Amino acid sequence: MYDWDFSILWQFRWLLLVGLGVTLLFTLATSLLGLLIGTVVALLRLIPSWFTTAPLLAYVGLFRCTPVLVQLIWFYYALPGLTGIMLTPSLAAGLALSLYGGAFFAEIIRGGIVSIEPGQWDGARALGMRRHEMMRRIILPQAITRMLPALANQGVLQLKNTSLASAVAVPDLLYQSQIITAETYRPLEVYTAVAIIYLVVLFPLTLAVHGLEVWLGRDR
Amino acid sequence: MSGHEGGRTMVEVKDLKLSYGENQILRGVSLTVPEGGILAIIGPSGSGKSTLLRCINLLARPSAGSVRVGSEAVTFDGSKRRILPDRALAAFRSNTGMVFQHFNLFPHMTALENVMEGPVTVRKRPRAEAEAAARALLAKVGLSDKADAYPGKLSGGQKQRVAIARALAIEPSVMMFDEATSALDPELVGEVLAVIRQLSNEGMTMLIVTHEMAFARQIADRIIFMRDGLIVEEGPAQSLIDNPVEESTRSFLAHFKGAGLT
Repeated sequence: MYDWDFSILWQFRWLLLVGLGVTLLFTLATSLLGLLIGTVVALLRLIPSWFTTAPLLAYVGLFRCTPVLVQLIWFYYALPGLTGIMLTPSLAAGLALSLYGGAFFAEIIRGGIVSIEPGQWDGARALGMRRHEMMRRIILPQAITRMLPALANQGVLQLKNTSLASAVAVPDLLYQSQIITAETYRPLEVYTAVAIIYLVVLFPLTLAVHGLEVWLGRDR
Repeated sequence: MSGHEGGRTMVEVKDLKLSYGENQILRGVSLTVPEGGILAIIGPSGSGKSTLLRCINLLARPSAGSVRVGSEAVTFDGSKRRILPDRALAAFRSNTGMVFQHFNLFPHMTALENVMEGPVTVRKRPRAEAEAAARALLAKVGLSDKADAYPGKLSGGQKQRVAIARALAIEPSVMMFDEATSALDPELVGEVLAVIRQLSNEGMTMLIVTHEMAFARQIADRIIFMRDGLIVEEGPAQSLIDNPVEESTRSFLAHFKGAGLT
C-alpha cells in the first residue's frame, strides 16, 4: 500500500503559487490574443472572396488539425532554424497557444455570426445602418450569447493547454510540479495536488459562465 | 384619397429587372408614387411583389433599371461591383422605412430600445432626445405601457406595431409594408391596419404589399396587380378591385371574393 504524504508539498507552496500565476497569466494572454485573432479571422471570412477565404481556411485548417504540442515545439525549435528568428520559451509558447486558440475561436465566432437569422440583417440594413454599426449593435450582441457556451469551453481547454508550455521550459504549474517531483520523488502527491488546483480554478469558472448564460438569456 | 395626385413624385422605379440564375423574379417593372400617395401591390405568391419592395431600399440587387426615392437615385448596370459605397448605401436606405412580414425586431433590445436604435445609431441623435421621440411613437401605436418589454414578451400585433414605430423613428420619406399582417393571427390584424390607416391620414407616402384586399381598396390611391414578375394591371384602387380589366386579375380577385374578403 502506497504511503501518501501531502505534507511535503507545504515547503513548495510558493513555487506552486508562482506556477499557478504563470498558468493564469498565460491563459489570459493567449485567450485574449486568440479571441482577437479569431474575431478578425471570422469577420474576414464573411467577405465572399477566395483571396481572403483561401489563406484563412489554410490557417484554421493547419492549426486545428495538428497537435498543439507539435506547434509549440515547432515554434521554439524549428522557427529559429528556418527564419533566424529566435523566440524565448514564453514567446514561442504564447504565440503557438494564441494561434491554436485563434483557429478554434474563429470557427466558434463565425458559426455564431452566421447563425443569426437573415431577418435581423434585413432589419438593421433597412434602418440605414452601416456594416460596422450593424455588427456592433445588432449581430454580435446576439451572436455572443449563442457563442458563450462554446467560447467558455474553448477557454477551459486554453487553460489546460498551457500545461503543454512546460515542454519548452515555461515555468507554469505543471513545470513547477515536475521540479518538485524531481526533488521529492513524490510524483503522486505532486500531480494529485496540481490536478486539484486546476479543478479548483476551473470548476467555479464554468459555474460562473453558466450563470452568465442564464443572465443573458433572461427576458427572451 | 386622390387629393395628393399631381404632387411631386416621391418614388420612381424604371424598368426594374432582377433574376437569380435562370429564375427571373422581376422582368421590367416601372411605377411612380407621388408625395403623400399610397400604392398597394397585390398578386399571388412568387409574383415578385416583395422583391420589388426590397429593390426600392436596396436590400435586393436588381440587374437592370433604376430606382429613385426623393432626390436620390440609383441606376443598376448588372455589374458585380457594389451598388454604392457602404456609407451612401446606408444613407439611401434610411430614406425609406420598411416593415417586414416577420417583424425582424431586435430581440436583445426592449421595445423602446428598438425604436431608439435608428435615431441613435443612424441619425446620431442625443439619447435623451431620441428616447422622448421613441416614447411618443410608442404612444402613437398604442404601446406606451410596453416600452420596457422585450419583443419575446409581445404578441404578434404588438411586435408589428413596435416595428412600425421603429421604422417611423428614422423619419423616412416613404414607408413600405411587406405583407405586414400576413404572419398575424386574424384577430390581431385589425390593430396593425389601424396604425397604417392613421399614417395614411397624416399624408405619409406608402407602398403596401398586402393580401388584405378590402383594406387595399379602402386605403390606397392606386393598386398594382403583379404576376410572374410583371405588372399586369394598374389603376385607381376601387376600380381595380371592383372592375378589373385583365382576366388574370379577375381570377386572382375571385379567390378573395369567394371567401367574402373584399
